[in-house]
Amino acid sequence: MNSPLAAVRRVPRRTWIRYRFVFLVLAPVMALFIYLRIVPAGQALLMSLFDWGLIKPADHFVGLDNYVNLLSDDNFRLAFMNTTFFAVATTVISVVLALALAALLARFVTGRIGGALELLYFAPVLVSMVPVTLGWREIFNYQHGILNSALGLVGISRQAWLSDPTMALVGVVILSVWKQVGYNMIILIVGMRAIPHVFHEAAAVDGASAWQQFRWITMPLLAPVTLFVVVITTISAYNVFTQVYVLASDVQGAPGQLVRVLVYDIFENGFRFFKMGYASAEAMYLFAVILVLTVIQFRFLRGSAE
Amino acid sequence: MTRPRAWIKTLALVSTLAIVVGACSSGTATQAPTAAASTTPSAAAGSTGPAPSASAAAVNACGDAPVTLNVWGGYPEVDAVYKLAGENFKKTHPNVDFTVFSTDLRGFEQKLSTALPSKTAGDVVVRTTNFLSRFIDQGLLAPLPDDLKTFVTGGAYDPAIVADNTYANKNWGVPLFIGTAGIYYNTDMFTKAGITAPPTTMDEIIADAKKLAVVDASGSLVTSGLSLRLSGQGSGVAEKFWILLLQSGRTLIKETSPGKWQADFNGPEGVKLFQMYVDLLKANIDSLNIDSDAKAFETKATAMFLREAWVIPEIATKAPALVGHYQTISPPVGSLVTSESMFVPAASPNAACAWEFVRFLKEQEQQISMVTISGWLPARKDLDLTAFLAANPTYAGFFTHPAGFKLTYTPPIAEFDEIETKLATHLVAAYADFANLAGQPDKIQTLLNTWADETNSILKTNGHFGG
Repeated sequence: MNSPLAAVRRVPRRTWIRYRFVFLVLAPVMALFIYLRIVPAGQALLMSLFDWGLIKPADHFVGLDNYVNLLSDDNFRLAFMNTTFFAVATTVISVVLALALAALLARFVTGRIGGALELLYFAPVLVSMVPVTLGWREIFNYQHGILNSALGLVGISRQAWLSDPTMALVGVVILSVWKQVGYNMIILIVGMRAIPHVFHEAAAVDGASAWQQFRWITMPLLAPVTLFVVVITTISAYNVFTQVYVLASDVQGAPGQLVRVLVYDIFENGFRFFKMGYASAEAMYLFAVILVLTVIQFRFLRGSAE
Repeated sequence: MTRPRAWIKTLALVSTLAIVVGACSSGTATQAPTAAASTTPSAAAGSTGPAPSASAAAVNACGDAPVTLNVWGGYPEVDAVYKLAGENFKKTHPNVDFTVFSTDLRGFEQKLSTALPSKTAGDVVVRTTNFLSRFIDQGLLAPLPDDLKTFVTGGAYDPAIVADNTYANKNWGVPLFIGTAGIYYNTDMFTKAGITAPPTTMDEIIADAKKLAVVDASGSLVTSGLSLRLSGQGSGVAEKFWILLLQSGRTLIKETSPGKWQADFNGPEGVKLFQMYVDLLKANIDSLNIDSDAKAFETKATAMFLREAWVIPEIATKAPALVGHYQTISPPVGSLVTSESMFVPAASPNAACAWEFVRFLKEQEQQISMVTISGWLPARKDLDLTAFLAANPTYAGFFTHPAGFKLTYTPPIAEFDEIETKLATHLVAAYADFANLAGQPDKIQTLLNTWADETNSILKTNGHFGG
């Protein structure tokens, strides 16, 4: 009898006038959202059922052939594996690193120094990905990049960041984590600072250490924020494209085809090979993967929050 | 039914209706990625109604009312040529203004793929007939006027260039400039290595490369003997492999019967060429970890490399100290030729004036300025280049060829770019694995056969396979 649904049932009928106003106010935004997001997605779904060459009308219905053919496409399988590795690595590293930085800055390094450090870590987020990638390409340079120079100072031999298949993918992960961690950190800091101090004070009175407080108080209460950060980082990671495209766009030792990712494969199939139906089917696969992962993350992290 | 569930059901119903309505709507508008344009084309202004026919007096082709012609190209270094030609054209056509739009080649192709169907492309579009063939199929490009058709087939161009511009048994586009490979070599490095004459065969090229490579005290390569194209986006890696394959008499795909093709790169010559690549990498004559291509040559990180003539003015600008210390030679047996040709979109409101500008661009003066300004070679073979070559001897490798030298053109099939790009993908991955492939001809043969199967599969899908 005290459930939210029961409370809704007790609202008088005339209150629907208030809801009608809400519908009216939301209608333009919803219309725009539907036109810009839902309609194109629906069109992509429809395109995926056709053999459409972009230039000519889509008049050859192929059903699920595009989906079936993709499963045996080596480029698609490689792109899927690379993208999954990239997404998992980037999400895990950037979230864990952001948590650690947020914990330090939220509790121990405050004031002006804390503010300056927050800005410093957030600065990469403000820079466009294209110049960031161009800069990192020089950092990764085998012969004169500063990364290999720094590794040489501690006795590690030069790494072929841009020409070794494994190192190329690791290089893109490093670049992306560097770009993403500041954004995650800021959101987590806000979440941490929103946790009432009384919980930590009570735990301290009970003799809990800093780590115990973090593990048993901060982390559970931060779960909704962590969920948000993990979900958006995963979605963003699965949509990786710019850094791979820019790194591959030059002849100078770029990873090129070594770091084939899903969005790049979609782009190439659609706009290079003019196989738009095929590319749309690939986009549907990407959508399905992200949707499944998002649902899993919601179930897992929301459950731990409750 | 509770109100929250009613909301959800209403929203779901509206969304579903929107999807159905949107998906069933007609029209061919597409979402296009943003191209990094250097200039924005302005709308053509002052169209004078129905365009006069191409055979009308040239003076009236552009009328008297103000006209703005938009010239679109995929090579920004050629912009200055169009602009100069525009200024010269304006002397006899004072009512005509020009805007030039160019971006990197791949961005330009993406731009065309949406601009041509939506009838928003320029008045003169410069690209290869092979790439534009899919647009030709949809009637988006105007056929050549009779006088230009006669000119193109009348002996002004090499037969390979005419063939490069033939699609569906018709001539399309007026060739403007061509790309064909030459070998650049650093004469100082040759002298230092004790090499007294440039190589004339592939074996000599490899032998010289081994003498020219320089390593530092730690054994790392600092100067490659021959800079191979080992990485990068697109089809360039496969294109350079193709050029070197031509030196052995084989090609990427061969025509087995009219309109039918088959992979030709997985024979013994292909295996030998691929072995050459991995052997040079294993012997540290070239490396994946140093600069390559034009940049390497300009910074003296390589002694030899293969490229088109556009590098020559780039060297004069970016590495002037290198001028006088390098030369070019022709590949020993043959080379690819790709011709960038001038087309007028069918939807151009200034078609007659655009064709008039095309006629102007093909003339000797504009063709000479093409090579002097951009370095790209003029498409016409009937030009008097004596004075130009005397003043610019470094272009010799692109105009002087051994007896029997053969130009090969791109197969006139729309899917060729997909074939070449996918082969490039495989080559890049294989080069990165050179350590496991060097000295393994059987493994290399297996790889090449697998890639050839993919090539033949693409040909089959498009109805062009002839086994």
